[in-house]
Amino acid sequence: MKTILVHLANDEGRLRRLRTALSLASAHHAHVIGLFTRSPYVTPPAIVGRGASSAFLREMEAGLRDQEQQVRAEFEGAVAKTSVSAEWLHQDGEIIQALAYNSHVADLLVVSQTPQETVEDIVTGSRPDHVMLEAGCPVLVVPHGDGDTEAGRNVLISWARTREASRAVRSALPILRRAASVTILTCRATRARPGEAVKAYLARHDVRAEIRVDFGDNDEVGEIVLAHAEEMSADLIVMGAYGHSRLREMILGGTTRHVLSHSTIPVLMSH
Amino acid sequence: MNTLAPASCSRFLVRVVAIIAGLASMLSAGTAFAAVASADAPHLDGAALGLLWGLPFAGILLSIALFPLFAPHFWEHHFGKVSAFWGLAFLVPFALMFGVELTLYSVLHTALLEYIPFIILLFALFTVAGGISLKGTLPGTPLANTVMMAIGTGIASWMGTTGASMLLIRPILQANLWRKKVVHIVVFFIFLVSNIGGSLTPLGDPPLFLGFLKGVEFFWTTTHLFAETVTLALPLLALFFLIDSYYYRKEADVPAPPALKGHLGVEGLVNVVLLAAIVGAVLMSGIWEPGISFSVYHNEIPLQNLVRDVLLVAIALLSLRLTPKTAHESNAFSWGPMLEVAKLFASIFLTIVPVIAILRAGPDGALRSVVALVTDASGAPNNAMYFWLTGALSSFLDNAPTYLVFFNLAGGEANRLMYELPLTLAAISAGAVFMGANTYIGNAPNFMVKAIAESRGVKMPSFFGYMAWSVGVLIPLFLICTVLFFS
Repeated sequence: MKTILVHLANDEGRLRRLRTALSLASAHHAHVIGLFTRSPYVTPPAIVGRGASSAFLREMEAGLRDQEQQVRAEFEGAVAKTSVSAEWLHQDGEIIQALAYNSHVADLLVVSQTPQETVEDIVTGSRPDHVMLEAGCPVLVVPHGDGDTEAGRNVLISWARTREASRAVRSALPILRRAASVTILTCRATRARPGEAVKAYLARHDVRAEIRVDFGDNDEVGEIVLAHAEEMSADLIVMGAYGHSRLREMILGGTTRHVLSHSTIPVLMSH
Repeated sequence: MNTLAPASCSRFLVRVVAIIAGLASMLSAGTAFAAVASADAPHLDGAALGLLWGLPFAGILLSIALFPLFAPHFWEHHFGKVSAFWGLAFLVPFALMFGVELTLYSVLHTALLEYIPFIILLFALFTVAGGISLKGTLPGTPLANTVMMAIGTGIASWMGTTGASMLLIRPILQANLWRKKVVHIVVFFIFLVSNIGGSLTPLGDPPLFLGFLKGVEFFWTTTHLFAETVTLALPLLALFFLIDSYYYRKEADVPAPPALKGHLGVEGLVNVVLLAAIVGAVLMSGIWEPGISFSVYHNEIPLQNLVRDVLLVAIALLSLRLTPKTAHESNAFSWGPMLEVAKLFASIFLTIVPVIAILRAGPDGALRSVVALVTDASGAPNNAMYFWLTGALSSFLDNAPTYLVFFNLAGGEANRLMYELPLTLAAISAGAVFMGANTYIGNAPNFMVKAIAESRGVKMPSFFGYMAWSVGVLIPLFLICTVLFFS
C-alpha cells in the first residue's frame, strides 16, 4: 500500500478521517494525498424569483475560499506532526466524481460514513461512503463522530466466495499482515468446511486467521457481522461491497448498506 | 447518472405533449367556443376551461420545488428543458384548441405586461444590489446585533429581501462567529431581513412587484401593511434581543476577539445611487400618466412602463460598467442564476394563463370549490382564509405565482382590491411576504443565508429543526396578526 487518498472537506468527520489515513500511512510508509473538493453550489430549490443575486455567489465563493484555507492549514498541521509524505490536491467539481477519478491512482481511499440524521442528509445527501461503486481502489469508511483513529489491529473479515469479498481481502493483505488478530466470519456457507480455503489462502500470505461460522437466526447478515465485530472488539471490518443496477444507477445491496450506516468501526470495502 | 440524451429527451417531450394534447381535447370537447372574440381583443373564457389546464402550472411549480431536492444534478443540467416542457404542455394544446390568434394574444399579453418587466427588475436588482457590500466589523453584542437586524428589516423593502440579506449576512456572521451559539442569530435574520422586512414596497418582494404591475399603487403596501409589519417586527426584535442576551451572558467566559473593531464602510457606493435610481424609475411608472400607449396585437403597453423598463436596463448596464472589475473577479460573477430565473419564469408566466382565467371565472369556473373556501356565506371574502392560504402555499412554493393566483381569486382588479377590499389585498400580500419565512424553501434568501452561514461553519438546523423555530415563534405571531387585522 503506497498511496492513500483521503477526502477533505469542512465536514465534522474530516479530522478523524485525516488522522486515520495518516496513521495507516505511517504504518505502511505510504504517501497521502488530501483531496479537497469545492462542490458547485446548486441554486436553492423552490426559490426562482429571488434566487438571482450576484452577492450570493460572491459570499459563497469567499466562504468556500476561507474553508479551504482552514482545512488546508489543519491538513498541513496534522501532516507536520508525522513523518508521512503528503500532498494537497484541489479539484473542483462533484465530490463523488472527483474521488472516483483520483482513486484510480491510489491504493486506498479514505472517506467518512455519511450521517443520516436529518431530512436533508437523507434527501439531498451526496454520499461519499457510497463511492466504492465507482472507485478504482478499495474504500475505507471511517465512522462519523469522534473516536479511535487506529484501524487494523483486530480485523474481522466478512467472507463469501464472491469477486467483491475476494477483492476486498486481497487489497487488505498489507493491513492483515500487520494485524494482531484476524477473524474470518462466514454467514452463508455452501460447503462442508466454510472458511478453510480462505484461511489457507491467507496463511500462504503470512496471515494467520481464525474462523467463525454464524448462520444466524434471521436473514440479516449485516446485523450478524456487526454483532461479531462488537463482541470481539474489532477495529476494522473487511468486506465486499455489493451493488445492483436500478434505473441505470448502481445501488448498494442491503447488507452493505446496513453495515455502512450502522458500523461504529472503520469498514474496508471493495466492489 | 440518470440523464437522458438530448435527442431521446426531445422525442420523449414531443410524445408527452401529444398525449397531454389528446387528453385535453377529450376533456374539453365541445368547449371550442371558449374563445369569444369581444370588441377587438381575443378573450379567453375561464368558465369553459377544465381543471386539466392547471396541470402544466402545477407541474412547473412542483418541478421547481422538488427536482433540486431529489435530483439536483439532473435539475442543474436540464432545468431549461423541464421548464420548456411545461411551457409547451400548455402552449401546444392551447393553440390546437383555441387557435393561433388567442394563443398569440395570451402569450404577448403575459410576456409584455408581466414577464419582461418582472425579469428586467430582477436583472437590475441582481447587478445593482449585488454590487454593494459592507466592509469593517461589528462587535457581536446583543444590542449591535439587534440594531443590525432592525436596519436590515428597514432596508429590505428598498433593495429587496435578497439584496438586504446578502448585504448584511457576512458582517453579522463575522461579528458573531467567535460565539458558541450563532444559530438563533441566523434564524431571526431569516425571519426579519429575508422575509418580513420586504413587505413595504414593490421592490421588497417579487409578489408585490407583480401586484404593482397589475396596478397596485407603489406606496399601497407601505401604508396598508405597515401595522402588520410592525406587529411582527417589534416583538421579533425584542424576542431576539432577549434570546441573544441570554446566550451572550451564558458565554461570558468566551473571550471576545480583540480585533472586532473598526468602522463599517460601504463598498460599491455608486450602486447605492443606482439603487435609488431603480426605486425612482419604478416609482415614476406608478405616478406618471402621460396617457400614451403602444398597441401590440391588442395589448396596450403604457409609455411610462416602457420608459421604466428602458431605464432599469440602462441602470443595470451602468452598474456593470461602474462596479470595479476587481470586485467582479473576486465575485465569481456569473449570469447563471439570472438565466435560470428567466427560463423558469417564462414557463410560470405561460402556464399560469389558464389558471388565472379559471380563477377569474369565480363561482362559474372549475376552481369554484377554492373560491367557496375563501368566500363567506354572505359572499364577502374571508380575509383570514386568504392570509393563511396564500401563506401556506408561499411557505413551500414560489410566492410570486402564489400571489398572482390569490390576487385573481379575489377578482384580480387592482382598484377594486385597493379601495373596496383593502383587507383582502393586505391579507394576500402579507401571506405571500411574511410566510415565506416558515421554511427554508419558502423564500430564496432563506436558503441562501443558510448556505452562506454553513459555508462559514455554522451548523444550521435541519429542515424540520428550522420549522420548529418558525412554528414556535412565527405562527403565534401570525395568529395574533389574524385576530388583529384579518378577522
